[in-house]
Parts: sequence; C-alpha cells; structure tokens
Amino acid sequence: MTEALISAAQHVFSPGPLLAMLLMIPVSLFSGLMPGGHLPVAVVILGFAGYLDPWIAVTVIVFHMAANDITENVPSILLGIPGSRSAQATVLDGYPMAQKGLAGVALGASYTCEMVGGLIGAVALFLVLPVARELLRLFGSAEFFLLSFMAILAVAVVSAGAFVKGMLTAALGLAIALIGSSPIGGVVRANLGIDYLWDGVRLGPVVVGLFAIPEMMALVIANISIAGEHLDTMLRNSKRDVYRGMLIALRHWWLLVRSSLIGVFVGALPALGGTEAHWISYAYARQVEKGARETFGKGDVRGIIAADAPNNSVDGAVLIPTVVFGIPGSAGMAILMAVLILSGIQPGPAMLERHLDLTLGLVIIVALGNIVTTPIMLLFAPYVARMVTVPPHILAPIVVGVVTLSAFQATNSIGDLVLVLGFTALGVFMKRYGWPRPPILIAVVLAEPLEKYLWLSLNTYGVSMLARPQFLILCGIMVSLIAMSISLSKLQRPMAEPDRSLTGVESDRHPGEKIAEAVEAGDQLRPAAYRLREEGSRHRRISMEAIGEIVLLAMTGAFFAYMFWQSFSWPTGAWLMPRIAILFGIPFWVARLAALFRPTTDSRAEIMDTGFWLGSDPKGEWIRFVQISGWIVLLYVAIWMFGFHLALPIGVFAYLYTYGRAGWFLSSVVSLAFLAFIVGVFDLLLHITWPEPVVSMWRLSLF
Amino acid sequence: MVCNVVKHGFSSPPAAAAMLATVIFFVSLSTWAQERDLAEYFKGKKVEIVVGSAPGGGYDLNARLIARFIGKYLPGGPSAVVVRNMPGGGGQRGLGATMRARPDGLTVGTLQTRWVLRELLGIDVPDFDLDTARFLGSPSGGAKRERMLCVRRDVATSWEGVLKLGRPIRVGSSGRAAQASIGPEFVELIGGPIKMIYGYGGMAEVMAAFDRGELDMVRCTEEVVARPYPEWIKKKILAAVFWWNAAPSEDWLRRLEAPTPPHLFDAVKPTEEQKRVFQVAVGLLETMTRAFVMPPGVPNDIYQAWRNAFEATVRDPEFVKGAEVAVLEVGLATVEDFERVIRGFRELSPAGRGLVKKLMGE
Repeated sequence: MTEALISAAQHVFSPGPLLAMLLMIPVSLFSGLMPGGHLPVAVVILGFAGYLDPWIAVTVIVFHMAANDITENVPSILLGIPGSRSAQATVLDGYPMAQKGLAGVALGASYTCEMVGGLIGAVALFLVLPVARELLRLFGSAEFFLLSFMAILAVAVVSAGAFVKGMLTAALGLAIALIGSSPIGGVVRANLGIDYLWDGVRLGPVVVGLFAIPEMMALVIANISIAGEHLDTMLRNSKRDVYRGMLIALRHWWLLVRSSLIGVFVGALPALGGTEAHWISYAYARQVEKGARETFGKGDVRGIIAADAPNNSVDGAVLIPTVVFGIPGSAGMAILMAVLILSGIQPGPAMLERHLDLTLGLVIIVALGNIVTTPIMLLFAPYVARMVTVPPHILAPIVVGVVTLSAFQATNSIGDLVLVLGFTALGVFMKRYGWPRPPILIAVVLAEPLEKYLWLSLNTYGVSMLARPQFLILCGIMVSLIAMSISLSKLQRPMAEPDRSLTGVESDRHPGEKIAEAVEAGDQLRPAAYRLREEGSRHRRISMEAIGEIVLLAMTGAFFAYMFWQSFSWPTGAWLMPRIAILFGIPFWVARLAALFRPTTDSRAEIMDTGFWLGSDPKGEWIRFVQISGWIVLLYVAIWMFGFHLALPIGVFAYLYTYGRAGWFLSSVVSLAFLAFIVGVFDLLLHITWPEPVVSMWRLSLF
Repeated sequence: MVCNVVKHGFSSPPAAAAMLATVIFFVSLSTWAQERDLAEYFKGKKVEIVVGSAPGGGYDLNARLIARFIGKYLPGGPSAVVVRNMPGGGGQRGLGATMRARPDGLTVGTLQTRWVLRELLGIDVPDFDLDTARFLGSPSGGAKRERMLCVRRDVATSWEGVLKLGRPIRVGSSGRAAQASIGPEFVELIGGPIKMIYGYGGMAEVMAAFDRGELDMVRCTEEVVARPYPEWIKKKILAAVFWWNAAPSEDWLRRLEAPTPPHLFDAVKPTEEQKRVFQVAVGLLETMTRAFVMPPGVPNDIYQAWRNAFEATVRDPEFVKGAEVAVLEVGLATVEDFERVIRGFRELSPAGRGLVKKLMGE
C-alpha cells in the first residue's frame, strides 16, 4: 500500500498532471457556476480521453469533478438557484443569508465546509478503500431503499410551516419524476403522448424552472437587488464577513465532521450517487441542533454547514462504487468510468489489485481539487458576493440567459425549454402562494433510487428483508434519530426565541451590530406567501388570491388522475411507485382543498422557502411582472423561431438596453459575450446539435 | 465504331490490344475519377456520429472508438469525426435526427435493436423505416459470443439441482430483451424455475448484487467474470447451468472447474416453435446489437465508401485492441447479416411473432 501511495504521488505530482490541474482550475470553477455545468465539460474531457496519457486523463476528470463542486454553491447562496448535483440544500439557508446582506458570511462558511469536507472525504476514502468491498457487500437493495426513504423524510423537514402543502408537492414531485420510460416494466409512463418525455423529466430544467427563473422574476418585480437595503452594509463588510463565516464554520466543528461523514457513508453506497447525503445531513441537523427548528431555513449558518460539508466529502466517496464495483452512481461518474475505460483501465473489484496506485492517485487528486481551489475561491469570495448587489434589471437577463443555456444541456432540444417554462409557471405559482418548492426537488432527485430499490428489495428479499440484521440496524438508527429529534424538540420548546449566536445572526454578539440590524430589517420584508397566511386569519380563503391556488390544486389533481388512470395499463413494477405517490398525495390534496374553504388558524407559520416581496407598489409590481414574464416568454419563442445564436444575444441586449437602462456599450458587451460563449463553448467545444429554427424550416419548405 | 468492331471483328492483334488498352484506360480513369471525387468530397469535411444515449454508456463508447479510427478509412480523410450525444426518447431522438439528416454521407447514427424489433412487430417508429434506412453493420454483432449462466454453488451445482430446489432462482437484469438475459427470460416465459428481476442499473450492478448474495444466478462468461471478479474463480463459487448462442470454451470450464453444462434447449426442452422463436430473437439481438445506420437516400458511392470504411475499421487491429480494453465485444456483422436475421423474423408464423413480442416485452 505504501509503495502504491508513493507511486501514485509521483504520478500525480509529475509535470503532466500538475499542468492539467492548473489548466482545469478556471474551467472547473467557471462551470460550477452554471447549474449542471460539470457535465458538458466532462463530455469534452471524454472526447480527448483516448488520446491522453491515462494519468493525465484521470487527473483532469477527477480534479474537474472535485473543483467544480467548489463553485456550485455560488448560485445556490447568491441567487437562490440550487445545484443540479450538489449545493441543493444549501439554498435553504444560503439565499436567505444573502438576502440579509450576509452573503460573505455564507460563502466563507460554505467554502470552509467544502474544503474540510473534501479532505475528510479523501482521508475516509483512503482509509476505507482496502476494506470497501467487504463493507459494502453488507448492504443490499433493501438497505439502499431504506436510505433513500430516510432521505425523502427530509421532505417533512423542509415542509416545516406548510406541512400539508409540502407533502402534497413531494407527492407531485415523485409523480412527475416517474414520467417516462420505466426501467422495470419496460413501458412509457404518463408521457402525455409527447416523445420528449420518454426519458422523463430531467433535473436541469426542473431546477432552472422551479427556482432560477422565479427568483429572478421576484427580484425584478420587487425592483430590488438581492441584498436589498443591506447593500451598503454588505459592501463595507464583505471581506470581514468571509473571514467570519470561516470562523463560524470551524467553531461548529462537530457538525462539520458529522455532516462530512454522512456524505462519506451515503456517497460510498453503490448507485445512490450521493445527492441524498445533503438532504439527510441537513434534515438531521435541523432535528438535533439546538434551536435549529426555529432558525433553519431563515438564514442559519449551521444549515449551510450541514448542507455543504457533505458536498465535497461525497466526491471522494462516490469514487468507491465507481472504481471498486464499476457502478457509476451519477451521469458524471458514468463519464469518469468511460474515461477510465478509454484509458485502458477497467473499473471493478480487481482495480484495487491491478491499479492500486491509480486508485490511490484518485484520492490525492480529490484532496488537491479541494485544497487548491478553495483558497482561490475564498480569495475571490468578497468580490463574488457582490453579485447580490447587482441591480435586478441587469442581473435577471444575464442569469436567465445563462440558466437557459444550461437547462438546454439536458437533451439539447426545444423540449428542455418548454419544460423550463412549465416549471417556471409552477415555480411562480408555488412561490406566490406559499407552497414550499424544495420538496419537489428532493422528490425528483430521489424518485429513481426509491422506486428502483423498493422494487428490487420486494423482489429479491420480499418480507424476509425485515429479518436482515443490516436492515434492522439501519431501521433502529432511523427510529432512534426520529425519537431523539422529538425529545430534543420537546426540550428546546421553552426556548421561544432562537439562539442567535448559532445562526447567521451570530454577529450580534460581536461588533457587527449592523449585520444584526440588517437581519432584523430583513425579517420585516415578508414574502407574499406569508402575508397571505396572515390575511387568511381574518378572511375566508376564497378570494381572488386563493383562485390561483385552486388552479394549482386543479392541475395537480388532474395530473394525479391522469397518471392513476394510465397506471392500470402498466405492469406491476411500473405502476407500484406512481400509485404509492398518488395515494400518498391524495389525502393532502383533499386537506389543502378543504383548507381553502375554511378560515385558517396557522397565521404565524413560516415556510422554508422564499416568496415574492409585494405590496409596496402594487401597480409597479404588476407592470414589472408583465415585463419580465413577457420578456421570458418572448425570448423562448424567439429561440424556437430563430435559434439560440440570434435570439439569446438580441433578447439579452433588448432587455438590458430597454428595462435595464444599461446603455449601448454594456448591453452590447454582454450580448456579444453570450454570442461568443454560444459559439466558443457550445459550437466549437461541445459540437451541440441545435434545434432547427422554425424560420429556417419555413425557408426550406418555401424554396 | 463499336458497331464496326462487332460487325467486322478485329483486323489484327495490335488493333485488339489497342482497343483493350483503351477500354481499360477509360474504365480505370472512371474508377479513379470516382475515387478522386469521393476523396475530394470527404476531404476537410466534418463527419458526425449521432449517439442516441448519454455519454459514457456502451453505445457511446462504441461510437467513440469508431470515430477514433474510421477517419483513416474514409476516402480523402475527413477533417474530424465527432460524436454527438442526443439522448432522449429511449434513443429515438438520436435515431430521428440521423434519419432526418441530409443524405450527404456526413451523418451516421447508432441504432438500438429495440427500434428494429418494434418495426418488425408492426409498431411504428417515427422517422425510421427498416426498408429504406441504410445500414452499415455492427462492430460487435458478428462475434459468436458465449452466453452461459452460472448458479451459486451453495444454491445448486447444476441445472438438475436447480430443478430440485422447488423455488424459482433469481436472475437480475437492467431491462427486458438484453442479449445476456434473453436465455433466462426465455426459460421464465416457457415456465422454467427462473424469476427475472428487472431494474438493476446495468451489468456491473447485477454482478455486485450477485456478489453480495442478492441474486442466485449470473452471466458467467470469461470476459465478464475473470477480470472484475477473479476470486469467484479462486473460491469456486460458480456452477455452470446452461448455455446458448456459443458453447463455452473448454479452457474456461476447466478454470471454473465445472462440467460442461447442457445447451438451454436440452435443459428446458422447449417445443420446436419455441426453439425457432428463440433462435430468431437471439439472432436479432446478437447480430443487430449496436448497429450503425445512415439516413435513407445516401448516394450509392458514398454509402459503399462508408460500408468499406466501417468494415475496415472494425477489422483494424488497433480498433480491436481498444475495444478489448474497453471490454466491448468485437466481431463485424455486415449488412447481409442484418438482412438474414430480418428475413428470419419475417418468415415466422403469426403465433411465433406473438411469442417474440412477449419475449421482448413489447
């Protein structure tokens, strides 16, 4: 082992791999800023894999995966856009912190967690590798199902304050995620006759539609930057905030280590992929951390620690199933495996015998990916944090343009954009009427492993799974965690006010009084969802606003009915999970509908999501709503008609120039940057097949 | 002049020789001109291979290997051969893009066997027509692959032992109608003691599930066992139960320390019609696996150039070496092989076709 480690170090620290890492730093950090951005870069690397020295090829791809994760938290914290692979739970506390002018604190804490988590992951990988196979053989489909189930319990956590809505949206998310080709029954489920939906709903367009675009719309409608009125405070304190965030993260060292270890454990399990780790860690922390039930979801830095520490500890761990069993847990790992194969290395159990040095090399590269890039990002964090100060009319068109391009990476078809628009409508509705969106995200991420392992465990073990010691031990852990969290919550109940020293508000113990003030001010800016709930205490729910919710319920109910009716023509394996999801969702659907017809009593509840800031200027808000939504629809129609190359740069220019009042120069520069990005990255590097613009098809049919 | 020659014959040997030389010259010239045209045609152009699945899978790896080597066999040498992944619709989106592409010989696509089966079973596949698509062949369809199943020795030591168990044995697969699982699927279809469990994420997941004791039976040919799980051989945990397609080698059976297992037909005794259906289904799956296809209407000379290049690539020792490293099966299946297996299906009785449909889960 020592010899192999020395050999691995010699290879990794030789000029070729070192140069490769150096070149990958800007690429990986930049790609992390785009939701799902790691995959296109990985595909480019795959294209070169067969021509490169195996050590260089492997270094490039593994380093990229580790480094890319470092910046995935930036859109999550600063823009409220969860990552497609990691930094999903980060959004719950990161974005509220950014809105309170604490973006620097959030970023500082996040990077510290990522670095420490990444190192813990690398060390754990190194320690576990020799016995990984024997350890992982203890876990079968039944235990994988149980872990997926544990992860989906996070839905209950993120539904705090809106339990009925949260459960209903989770059921809806599960049902949506089960659209398309069933891996079990060999049938296509509930695709509404649309070919695009054969392969189901991809995560990229869901994230962009549900979160990214509604967040940008919210900013434009309220006509405030993300930092809002905390702008000056934020600008003054940004450098100090980053440092403070680092210290806060290190002070919560046990939370940091525990969350990292959760990432290692979940990531190492074959075929789970590691995304569950963020949610499990976050949900667990919310249940057991002191006062977290009151503060998580409102900008508690511990929420960021719990969500981000597993982010990078997973990176090392997910290599275990890929390398040791040849089982890629995600699309990224599938590409890594392909790179290994094209480099002449066959992943699998024999890898530890035949290529131990390379396997240990992966550990070193993961560690380097974190050690090298985190300080760079920490250095830039105060400047990156200033993104939240950009005026909404400048920020929105740029972000919408970028996320549109990244959503289009799902399948490179117009269907991706239609899906984005559909989820945008859903996201806006949910944001407006106080329906928490994270449950949908969790459900979409977990639907596949949940369905797969439920089916496999029922078929392979049946009832006898209940007699498996491993299963029982995990069940025991799960039950004791729930019991512990209940007893902790009882103990903590007398503490009406959250302990501010443990939240992002921590600064009020320190000289940073302004930040505390900023937080207080931020609390007064209540999203419309909350306002609606307060109105509900005085009026019956049937109002103009409630009609929107009725529409949402009607659409949800119609989809449930359609899928349920369709499920009678599917074989058992294909209908099982959809029916479970629908039958689970129906009681909550009925409860929600009933709630609309009676006065509400839960006026003080707050949800773990952000709403719209409405009420200060109703007329102006309506005008801006029409402006931004009209522009988005027009932009997408223009892309469909004229193609990306023409529509996106012109669309962005038009918005920046007219609504953003950015002037000719800035509007042109941004617009040309989009064109250069499309041509340089998508045409020349990725060789994207663009959908044929409608206009060119008309031209062809005319001549 | 030609009429004159026919009428009077050659007046002298030199004249005949001169005439022959002229004919040879013009024939050569026209052949050379055609070659030169093709060389000019492809030179400096970019050729695309459309893959209807995400990067990293078997189809993608095959396409990337072909892309790496085929350039040197296409006349003139195109400037680049690029792989475009167009996942969606279970591969239908990529296939549709290939079929709708301009028939200029610059677009080739991968074809999943399920679409061929659907067409044969009378289920319409948008944009794809079996009779007009221009097939190139398959880089692995011509390999006469050993297909053998082994059971865990602590469960049974032979097919007879399996029959005596009194319960079905569990076999895993990612989905229906995979080459490696068609044998046990057939046994299950005709009432044999096998329970197919679908839903695993691929062969590696099936192997890992067998490794941890979740499944009883697994594919056990040399290439899938010997490299990734050598200790299965050392610990003698595998007992061969039956084979199909090609018999396992004596050497491999010796390494497994297993007696020669029976052929699937000898183990489960199907009817003649069932045998015929199985052979047709296996023929289609094995031969048309990972096929490459061009859009309808590609000019004959360009199509022929592609076929030649494709066949030369698959025979290229460097390609074979690359495929072996990636554990991709190599063996050229030509267009004629495709035609043979398709004809075989079309000759089946309606009842036989119904059975194929059932077997393929369509």
